Amino acid sequence: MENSSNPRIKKIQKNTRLTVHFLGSNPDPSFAKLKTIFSKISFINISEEKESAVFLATYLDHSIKITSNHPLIDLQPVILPDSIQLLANFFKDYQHYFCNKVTTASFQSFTPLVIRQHKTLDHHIKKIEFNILKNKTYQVESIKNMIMDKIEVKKFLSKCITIDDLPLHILKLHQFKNYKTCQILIHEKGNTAAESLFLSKGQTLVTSKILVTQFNKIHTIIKKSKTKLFNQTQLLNNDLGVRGTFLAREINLSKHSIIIVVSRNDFFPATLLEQEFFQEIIKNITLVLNNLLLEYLSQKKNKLFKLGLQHLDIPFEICDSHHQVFFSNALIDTLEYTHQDIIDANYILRYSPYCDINYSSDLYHFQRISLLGELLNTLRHELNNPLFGLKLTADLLIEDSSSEDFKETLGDISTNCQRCQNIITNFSLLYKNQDTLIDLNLYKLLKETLVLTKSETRGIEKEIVFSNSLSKEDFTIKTNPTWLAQIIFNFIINSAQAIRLSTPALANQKITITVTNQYLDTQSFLVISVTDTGPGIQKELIEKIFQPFITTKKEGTGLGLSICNYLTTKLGGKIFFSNNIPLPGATFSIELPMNDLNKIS
Amino acid sequence: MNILLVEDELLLQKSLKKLLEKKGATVKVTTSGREAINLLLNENFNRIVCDLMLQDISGFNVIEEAKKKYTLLEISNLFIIMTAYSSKQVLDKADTYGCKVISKPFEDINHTLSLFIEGGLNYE
Repeated sequence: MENSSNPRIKKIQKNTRLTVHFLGSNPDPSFAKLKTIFSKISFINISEEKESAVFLATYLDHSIKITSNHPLIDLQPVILPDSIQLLANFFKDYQHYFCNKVTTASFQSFTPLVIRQHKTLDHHIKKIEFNILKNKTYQVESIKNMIMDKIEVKKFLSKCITIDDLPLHILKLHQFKNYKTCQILIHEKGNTAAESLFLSKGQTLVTSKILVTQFNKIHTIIKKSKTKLFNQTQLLNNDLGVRGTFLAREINLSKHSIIIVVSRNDFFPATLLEQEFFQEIIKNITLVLNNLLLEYLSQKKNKLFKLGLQHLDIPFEICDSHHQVFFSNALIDTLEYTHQDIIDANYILRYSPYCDINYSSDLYHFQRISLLGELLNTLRHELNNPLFGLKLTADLLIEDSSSEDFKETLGDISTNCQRCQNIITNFSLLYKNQDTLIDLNLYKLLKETLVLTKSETRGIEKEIVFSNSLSKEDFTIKTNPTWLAQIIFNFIINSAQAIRLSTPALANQKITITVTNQYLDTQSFLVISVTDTGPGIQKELIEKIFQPFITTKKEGTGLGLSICNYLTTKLGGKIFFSNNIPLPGATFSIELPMNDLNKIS
Repeated sequence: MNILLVEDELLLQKSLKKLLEKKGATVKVTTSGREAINLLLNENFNRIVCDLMLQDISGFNVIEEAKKKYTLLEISNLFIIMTAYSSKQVLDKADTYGCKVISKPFEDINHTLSLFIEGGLNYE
């Protein structure tokens, strides 16, 4: 019997079909004979365009070349010795016919190639001959119909502009005219859900999501199948909308896995022809599908990217090569450039931090500040514990010790441990965002704040002055200690740094904190001022001194005074400053409204 | 009075041991949470004072292991938690065991010591 593993057989089978196809439905009496002969000739050459097959035969020392169009040809030439004789006879008989019809084909010198394995091949040819003779005309026609030529493929592919259209176009193919449903499952690799496009003829497209686990289950079953022909007993899944038997095929693309299912929704299995056609159409759409999906992905990516750019906290502009700004996330109207333009062209991304100075935020600085807060918190916890142990041990040893000298030293250790703890606690309080108002002794708060500035103000004289009507011991206000301390802290640090920058001789330098009570109409105000003997404020800075990131210091963040401004506003007060003309230095003050609610004493 | 003190800050551990012994308690100490679990399962203590942030495991892990031996009611009376991180989450979690939580540094050392010895029931 036929050796089906021989690859050549399959080729010849295709070949025979081609022959029939070529001959078409010509009712000429020569048809049967010609068919027989051509099936024996089996000599096919492929033209350069690979779109047509060329049949060659010799007649009267000429070779006859007959061209047949078919896109699927991929055959090697084979010629059998006895077919030459047959052909010769045929041409002799039908010389007349050929003279009229085929002589338009080219004639050229030709030396027939004889294949040695004539015996085996002859056997196959006989089989094929038998098959062909069995073929009826309508079958020939249906085969013809099932084959997509290049133009048809092109037409089909050009119709598919989006993926959503694909099921409709598949069902519209005349080869699938009896098919009722088409479903396409698309899984973008890495996603947890796959997309399902389901179309029933005459209805609208239904899109839905299915779980990737379900998708993979279906995918595996389809992949394992050789015929790609299924019925519900093999593959019953709620996510598949088909009924009865159906054809399904999986496609693996670079970024997607796809399953295509078509069904007539009945229980008759697809014919072999339909199966073959299905495979062919899948082959044809694979490429276009990949392009469609990748395009879709890049559109999605661009959309997200653009959205991300527009909402980015850092203001920036994109310029083209002529330094013309065409995209800026600070502007409402952006010029009409597509995203691809931005990516494709060599545009310059320009960072523009000051396009709106009042609201611009420098992420880097704020990150640093919030990091500092976190760091302080960690430090507090990590240092508190050992300090507590140290203090406790020192206290214990004092009791055990008999030497006064030891006791004194141990006492110092204990006191200093306590001081360290206090500093840490105060520092972390500064960074705690407490919204609560508490009654506090202002003098005590100012003194504690001064302790915190000790390293910066070292060597500089400091004084806290309360106006006559106010008592240092008893004057209490209701306010937010964290905010107030931070404002005063920043003032003092600024003063100290300004003094240090201007002179190395600190002996005559002084920072004075003054607290006074003022009345304006019926309203009472508390004014806290920090006065220094430094160089004062430069004229050009006066305008923008509270703006963030304006700094005179090399290591400064430029945030200190802008934070002070912000916190003073939160306390309901006002902030102001002046140079101490004619004296040197500057004074920074805050004015807080005092009323019965926040004034205790 | 048998007290197990689990604290990895050595100076603190030493001082507390000394102070508690002065008050007449027998104190066993460890820096390791795992060792604490071993000790509490094999010996009997009237009080277990346990730091939360230990080098190996958390104080809450120690309490979890103690469930093998004690009922929840016993645990709430037996354990006192010490911590330098008295955040709300920590307090809430301690509450599920019904244990007292002492913040470090102690506000009043004598009060804390008597609490360790007399138990947390009368403590607000």
